[in-house]
Amino acid sequence: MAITRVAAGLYTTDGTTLTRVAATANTTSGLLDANNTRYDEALVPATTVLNPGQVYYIGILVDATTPGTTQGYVEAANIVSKVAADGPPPMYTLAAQTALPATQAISGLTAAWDLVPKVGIVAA
Amino acid sequence: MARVPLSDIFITGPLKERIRRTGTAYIYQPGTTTEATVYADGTNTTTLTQPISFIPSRDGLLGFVNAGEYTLFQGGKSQQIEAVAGDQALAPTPSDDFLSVYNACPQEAAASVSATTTSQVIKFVRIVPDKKITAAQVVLVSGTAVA
Repeated sequence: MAITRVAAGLYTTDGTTLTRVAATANTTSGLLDANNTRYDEALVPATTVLNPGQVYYIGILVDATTPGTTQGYVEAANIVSKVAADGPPPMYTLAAQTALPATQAISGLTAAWDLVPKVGIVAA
Repeated sequence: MARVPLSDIFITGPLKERIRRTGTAYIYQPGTTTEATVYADGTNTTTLTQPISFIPSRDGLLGFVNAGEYTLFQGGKSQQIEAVAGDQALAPTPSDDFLSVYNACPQEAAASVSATTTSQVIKFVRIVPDKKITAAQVVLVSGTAVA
């Protein structure tokens, strides 16, 4: 498949709403085009600071000319159930979007306990 | 008090090799050799007898501990660990060595982010930095069938 857009945004949360504070500038050029490859994409604004211990969310939206998948990550079923009992969900999903929202109420999201894609934040 | 699965604890190289070889590890109160309480699951009061078993299929230790600091020990090697409630391995922890940490997490199957032209699903993945990060970059890892 040919990937036409990979939009990734960084969101803060107050527990009820996700608010986008930064996003990747490169949303098309070569992103995820190669198999089993790591892509480091700078956030805009570059002055964005993440503080230890604070919860953030990375929103990812992928479009392609034909359906396909990117590899992700899932825990064993028995571990997933423990996550449900012990902590907040590792991921939320939001269907039928054409762009990353500036803000999004958590109450409007669907909690997901598996299918967590490989994504993270590193210092440049 | 929320409990944290020990399978979510990232174990450093030399200690992990010893744990893998022996199949067990000890969980101590920090800086002591006093055995910490390790529970059989996330809610009940059943405790496990130390040393705690290492489960190769999970690439992690059995059992749960209350959130807090502990010392992980085996074969003369130890590591200070911090069990943080809700900070599961499912949510990748940022690191300078992102892939090595991520690939050390237990995983038994591949999941996916679907990419279609008609139904775009945004996935919001929770992360909790373990240190202050400036000039941040998002790291994405492609799969085996994206090109």
